[in-house]
Amino acid sequence: MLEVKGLYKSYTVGKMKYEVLKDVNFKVNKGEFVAVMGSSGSGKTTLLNCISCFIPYDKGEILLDGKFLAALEEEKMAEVRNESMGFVFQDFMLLDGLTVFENVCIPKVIRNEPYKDMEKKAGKLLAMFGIESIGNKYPVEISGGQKQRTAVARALMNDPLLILADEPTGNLDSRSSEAVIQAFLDAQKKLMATTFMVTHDSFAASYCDRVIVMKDGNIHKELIKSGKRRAFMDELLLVLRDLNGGDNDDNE
Amino acid sequence: MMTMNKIFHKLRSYNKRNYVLFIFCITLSVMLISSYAIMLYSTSIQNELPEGGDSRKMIEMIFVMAMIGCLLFMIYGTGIFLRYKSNEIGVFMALGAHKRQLKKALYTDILVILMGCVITGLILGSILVLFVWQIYRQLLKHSDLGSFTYAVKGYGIGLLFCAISVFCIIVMAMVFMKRSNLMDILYAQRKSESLKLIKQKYGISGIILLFAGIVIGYGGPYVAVNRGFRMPGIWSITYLLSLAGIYMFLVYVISHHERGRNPQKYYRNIIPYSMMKFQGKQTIRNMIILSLIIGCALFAGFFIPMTYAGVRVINASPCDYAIPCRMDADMIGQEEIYQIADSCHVEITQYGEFVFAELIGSGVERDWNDDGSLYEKEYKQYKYFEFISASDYEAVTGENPEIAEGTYRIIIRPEAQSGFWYRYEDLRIITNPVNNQELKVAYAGTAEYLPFIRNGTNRYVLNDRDYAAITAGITENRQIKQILFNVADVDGSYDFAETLYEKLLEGAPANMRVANTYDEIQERIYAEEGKTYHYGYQLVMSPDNVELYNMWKYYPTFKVIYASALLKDYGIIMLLFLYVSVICLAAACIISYSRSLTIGLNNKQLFNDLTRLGANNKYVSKCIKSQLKKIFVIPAAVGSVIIFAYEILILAVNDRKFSSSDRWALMVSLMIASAVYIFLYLIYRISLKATKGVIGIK
Repeated sequence: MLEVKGLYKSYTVGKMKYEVLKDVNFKVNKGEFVAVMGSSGSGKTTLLNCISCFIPYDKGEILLDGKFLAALEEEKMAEVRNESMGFVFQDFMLLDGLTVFENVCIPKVIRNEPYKDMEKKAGKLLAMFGIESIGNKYPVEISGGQKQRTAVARALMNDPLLILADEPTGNLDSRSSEAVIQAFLDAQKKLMATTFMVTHDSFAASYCDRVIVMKDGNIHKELIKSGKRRAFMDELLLVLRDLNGGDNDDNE
Repeated sequence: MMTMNKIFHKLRSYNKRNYVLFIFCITLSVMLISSYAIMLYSTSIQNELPEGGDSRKMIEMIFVMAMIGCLLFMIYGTGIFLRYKSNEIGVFMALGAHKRQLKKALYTDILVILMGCVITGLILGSILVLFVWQIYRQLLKHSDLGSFTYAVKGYGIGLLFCAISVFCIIVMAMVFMKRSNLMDILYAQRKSESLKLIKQKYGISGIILLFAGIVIGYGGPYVAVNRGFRMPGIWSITYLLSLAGIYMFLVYVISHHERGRNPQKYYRNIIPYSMMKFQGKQTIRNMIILSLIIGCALFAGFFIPMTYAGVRVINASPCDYAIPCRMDADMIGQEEIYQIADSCHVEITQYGEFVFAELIGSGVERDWNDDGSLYEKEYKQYKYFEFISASDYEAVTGENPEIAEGTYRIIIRPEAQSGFWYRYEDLRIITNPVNNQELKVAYAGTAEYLPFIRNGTNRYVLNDRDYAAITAGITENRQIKQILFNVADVDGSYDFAETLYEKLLEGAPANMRVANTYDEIQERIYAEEGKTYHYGYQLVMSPDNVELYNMWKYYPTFKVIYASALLKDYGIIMLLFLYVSVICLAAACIISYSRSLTIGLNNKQLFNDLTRLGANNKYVSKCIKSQLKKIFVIPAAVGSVIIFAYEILILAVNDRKFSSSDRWALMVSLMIASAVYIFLYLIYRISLKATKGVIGIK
C-alpha cells in the first residue's frame, strides 16, 4: 500500500550538509498500524514529512497504492492528500475559529460534498471517538486529548488509504494518550485504516503491529508484534536501550 | 450548509484582530501620505512656496522618506498578516485544499481590503487636509491664507503611492503563496530567525561605520569643495555605511549576551535576551525601520527651529524700520514718513538717514567645471557694491570699526560667515564709476549691523580718508539713501508698515523695480561675453506680490512685516516639515505597538511555561518590559544620535562655527526630541499594557 524505496534526504545549513535520510526502504500494508521510533535526530519526522510530500526529498521513490507521489503535480497532490491521506499533528493543527464539528468536516468541505453526507460522517466519527458532546465547542475550550481525538476524526473524514501521525501523543498526558491510541485502533478495526505513526512513546508504539526503529537516517531494526502488547513493549524498550547505549528513559 | 466560503468567512470573523491591524496599517499609511501629497501639491501651498530652492528640495526629500517609511510600515503589517494566515493556509493545504482555491480566497481578501483601505484612506486624507489647513490658517494669522484649493497632482501622487503599495502587497502575497514547503507554511509563525554569535568588536565596528557614513557622506563633499573639487552625486552612496553601521550595531545589541563581568545581570536577563535572539532577524529589520523613521521624524522636526532662527535674528534687530532707496529717486522722504505715521497713530522715536556710495568692486566668479574641478575667474570690475565711511558707520552703530587706510570691513548679519561662492576677501579693487579712479584695498574683517543688510548687495565700511578719496565727484545716481527709524510700539505698527510699504511700491522708479540678482556691471560683462543676461526684468510692484520679499533688490526691512513675511514664507515650510514629522512619528508608534503585540503573541507559550516553572507575574512582566524597552529605546537612541550628529555637522560646516542661533536651534531641537521621547514613552506604556493583556497578566 505504502512503499518507500531508496529514500535520501539532506538539509544544508550554512556550508554544512546534513544527510538526514540515507537509503530508507520499507513497506506498509493495508490495515497495518506501523510506528517509527528512534532517538532525536534519527530522521523519523523527516521521513514522515517526505511521505506526506510536505517537504521535497533528494532521491528515491515513495509509492502510495502504486502511485509515485513525487511525480504528481501540485493540484493532483492536493487531491491525494485530501482523498488518500489523513494527517494528525503533534500540536493538533485545529483551526481555532471553527468548532470541533466544523474542524472535522473540513476535508469534506474541501471536496465540496453534500452537507448531509458530511454531517452524517462527522457525527459518526465524533461518536466513535467519544467526543460528540463537544461538537459545538471551540478548540480553546477543550482538553489536549479531546483536541487530538478531533484531529484523528478529521484525518479519517475521507476514509483515507493512509493516516500519517506525527507524535500524536507528544503533547498529551497518559490518559489522553491512551484515548488517542484507542482512536487509531478503532479506526483500524472499524474502518480498516492504515496508520503510519512517528512516536517517542514506547507505550503508544506497543499498540502497533510493527515498529520501525531508525538510527542515523537508516532503518536500524524492524520489530513485529507477535504476542501480547506488554511483551512487545518490553522488547521495544530493550531495543531502544541498546540504541541509546543503555540509557533509555522511555517508560510507561 | 458548510462551504469553503462560509469557513473563510467564519475564520475572518474569528481573527478580526489581525484583519483590523492590517486594515489599520494600510488605511493609516494611505491617509497620511495622500493627505500630505494633497496638501503639498495643492495650489494653496504651491503658491506660497518659493520656486526651486533648498527648502522645497528638502520637503520633497523628507516626503519621499516618509513615503518609504510608510511603505515599509505597510509591508511590515502585511508580513504580520501573512504570517498569521500561513498556519491557516497550511492546515487547508495539508488537508488537501487546492492551492488555486486558497490563492483565490487570499487574493480576494487582500484586494477587497486594499480597495476599501485605499478609498477610505483617500477620503480621510482629503478631510484631514482641511483640518490641517485650518490649523495652518490659525497659526499663520498674518499670512492671509485663503481657503484650501485641491489640485489633481496631489491626488495623483497619493494614488501613485497607493499603486506602489498595492503592487508590493500583491507581490508579497504571490511570493507567499508560491511556497511549496508545507512545513514552512504551517510553522511560519514559529520560524526561528536566530542570529549568529558575534563578538564585541562587531558592535564597535558598527558604531564606527555609523558615524563614518555621516562624516564621510556630509564632510567629504565639504572638504573637497574647500580644496577646489566637487564630489560627484554618487558620493551620497557613502551614507550607506551608516546603514550598515546601524545594522551591525543592532545585531550586536540583540545577539551579544555574555556572562562577562556581571554574571548576576547575565542570568537575570537570560530569558528576554534569548527570546529576542530567537526572533533576531525580524527584530533587527523592525528596529532598523524604526530607527530610520524616528530619525526622519526628528530631522523634520529639527528643521523648524533651524528655520525659525532666521526670524529670531530679525526680531533682535536694533532698528524697527530700514528703507534703502536710490538718492536720485524721489521715492519717499522724512516728512512723508512722519505724515503716514501720524495718520496711523504711530509714534516715531528715532529717525536717521545715511548715505552709501555705490562703487564698482572687483570679484571672483566661481563655478564647477564639467570634470568636477573649480572654475575661478577674477574680474577687476565685477559688481556694484555699497560703501559707507567709518565715521558714518560709527555714528549709526556707536561702534568704531577701526579700519586702517587701504583696508575694508564687510557688513554682515550677526555671526554670519564667509561663503564658498562669495568670500569676504574677494574685494581687492574699488572703482569710482564716475571718474574711474581706483583704490586697492585689503580685507580687514567684518562689521555686524543687521539694519544695513541688503537683499543681494554687499555693503562695506571704508577708512574715512579712503572713502573721501574714492567717492570724490560721485553723483546722486550713484548714491543710496538708507533710512532707519524706530517706533514706540513696533507690534502695534502693522497698519503703518503696510501703508508705508504700499507707498514705497508706488513710488519706486523703474531703476529700482529690479530683482536682487540684477547688477549693471554683470549685465555689461554678459554683453561683452556675448551671453544673454536674464536678470534685467522688472518686478510687479504690488503688495500682493509675495515674491518681492525674496526678490526685490530694494525690499525694505520692516521688523513687523519682515518677521511676518519670513514666518509666512517659512511658516508653510515649517508646518509641512511638522506634518512629515507627525507622519513618521505615527508610523513609528504603530510599528512599535504592533511589534510589542507580536512579541506577546509569539512568546505567549513561553511565558505560560515560565509561569508553570514558578515564575511570578513580576518576573514575566520584567521579561516583557526588557524586550519592549529595547524595541522603543534602541531605535529612538540610534535615530537621535544619527540626526543630532547630522544636525551638528550641518550647523558646524555651514558657517564653520556654532553661532548663538545654532546653539538656540540645537537647544530647541533637544526640546523637540524630548517631547518625542515623552510621546514614545506613553506609547511604550500603552504597548506594555496591551502586551501584558495578550499574555494574560496584570
